[in-house]
Amino acid sequence: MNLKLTILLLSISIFVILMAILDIVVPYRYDEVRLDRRFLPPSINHLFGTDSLGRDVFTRVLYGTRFSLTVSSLSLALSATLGTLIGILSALSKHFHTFADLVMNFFYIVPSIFVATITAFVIGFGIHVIAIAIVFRFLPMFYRVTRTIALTVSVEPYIESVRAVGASTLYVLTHYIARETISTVAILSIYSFPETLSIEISLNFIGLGVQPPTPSLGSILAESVKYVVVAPHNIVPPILVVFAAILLAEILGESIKKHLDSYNVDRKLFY
Amino acid sequence: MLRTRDIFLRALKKISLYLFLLIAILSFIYLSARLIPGDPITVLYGEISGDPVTRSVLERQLGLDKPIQIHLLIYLRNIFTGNWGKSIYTGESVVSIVSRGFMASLKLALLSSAFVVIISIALVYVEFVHNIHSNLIRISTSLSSSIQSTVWSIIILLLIARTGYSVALGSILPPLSVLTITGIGIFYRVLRSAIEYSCRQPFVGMYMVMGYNKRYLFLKVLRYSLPMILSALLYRVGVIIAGAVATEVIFMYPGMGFVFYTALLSRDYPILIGWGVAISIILMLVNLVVDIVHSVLDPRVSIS
Repeated sequence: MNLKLTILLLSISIFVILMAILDIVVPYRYDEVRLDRRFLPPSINHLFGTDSLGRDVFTRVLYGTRFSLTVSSLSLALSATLGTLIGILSALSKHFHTFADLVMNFFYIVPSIFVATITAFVIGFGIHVIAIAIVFRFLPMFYRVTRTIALTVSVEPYIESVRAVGASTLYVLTHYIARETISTVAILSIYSFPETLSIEISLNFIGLGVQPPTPSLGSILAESVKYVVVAPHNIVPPILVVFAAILLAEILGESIKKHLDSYNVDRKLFY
Repeated sequence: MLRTRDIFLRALKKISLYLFLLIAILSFIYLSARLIPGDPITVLYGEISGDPVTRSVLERQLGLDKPIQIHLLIYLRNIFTGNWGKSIYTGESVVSIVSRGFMASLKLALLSSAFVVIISIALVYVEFVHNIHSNLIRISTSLSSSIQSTVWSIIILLLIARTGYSVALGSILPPLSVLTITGIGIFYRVLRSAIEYSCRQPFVGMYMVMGYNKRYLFLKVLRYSLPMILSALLYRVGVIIAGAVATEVIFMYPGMGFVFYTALLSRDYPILIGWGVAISIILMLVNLVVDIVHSVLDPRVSIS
């Protein structure tokens, strides 16, 4: 593991720990309304100033970051897991493939924002709306990629020889096909992270996601756009956070890809 | 001759598959719309008359007194005959609202895609033919793709609001520039990797040995990677028509995204459902066209 990746992973884990103990660290509450302190400019007491209801923007951005990143990464993980499972299963069985392909085409064509809207009307607004939109958007992608990889791997000569020795399908699946797919799926999920964030932001922006006062990056952005002429300092922090998160995801994806590539080369040299 | 028949058969198979899928999707939309709390006459067809006699007449007309599988068939017939209900608030028919939004979105999507294609090809051409590997191109394209469209819209809105200048073609220029900026970052990457992939093909080496200049070679490579580029482009057009909601809302551009947003805010269920149906049909057509174009441009696809 090279230095860059180590530093990246270390800083991400520190960030995660910080986010986990946010309630203890932060001096204000995210829904603490102080109407006498509206639109304060940045100062020592309020690092990013205050918003239209006198709430501390720094605190809100921290909580919003925690919320948005948690929702997007969890739903991304869910769609990656489901997509990988369905993809591998459909590579194995022809009948399942016919069925899965139809369902995945359905997922691919029905706009995820529409499904999210219907869910919001039927069940109610909340986190699940964003999760459903993200899963709907990404499940077909993971399914297609995994299926292609599983099909390519399963016709490789070494799989044939392993089978000839007497390995069961389950053994081949867990020891060879899973290993090949997992690295690609990991890289693909890191690269799709910006788009999950953008789905989350646009859903919250049009008011389909969480309801106030719960902060998320999208809802903070939507709120601060309304007051952008009065308090332009409110809008800068969420934009910077989004930008940093996306940049970090790209750098992380690149270095993990490099790391896995070198791993693959080494393995091929040894065997 | 064989090839034409092959493509035709393939297209027919695809079309029948997609028709089946369309009916499945419409049924899904209908059934999930029935789950929305409220009276189906209002939710699906936008009738708000409170008179019980009128309602019962409508109920019989729409077949709502029959079992649910019959409703579904009646609903499908209504969709295919263009009776998509009417807006709860304005009373205008859903078809006309949605098609107006569609035309506006189509204009946006086509214009921005044209700009994106021209600029990206120019960038890659400069890099490929003149061998200029500038960091400026790399940084600006990755910047344009790593800030997403919502944030770009806000930034441009902020710029316009702060400078206070009046913008020529103000209704379409801001959303157009946002979609172009965000599109370039992604499309440039797709184009570049497609060109790089094509450059590794053996035929390029042969052309080089034959002594063609780089400009001609670029055209050849572009032709070879056309199927990949075209499917990425068509997919992008579909996504813009369906998904530029935040951008259209910020600039109040009256496209599909804005139709969706206003319907969402006013809980105008018939429009929302009509929007979902229209977007599904559009995305399906885009998929179908991508498949067909792909097999026309790359004969190997239809043979294998």
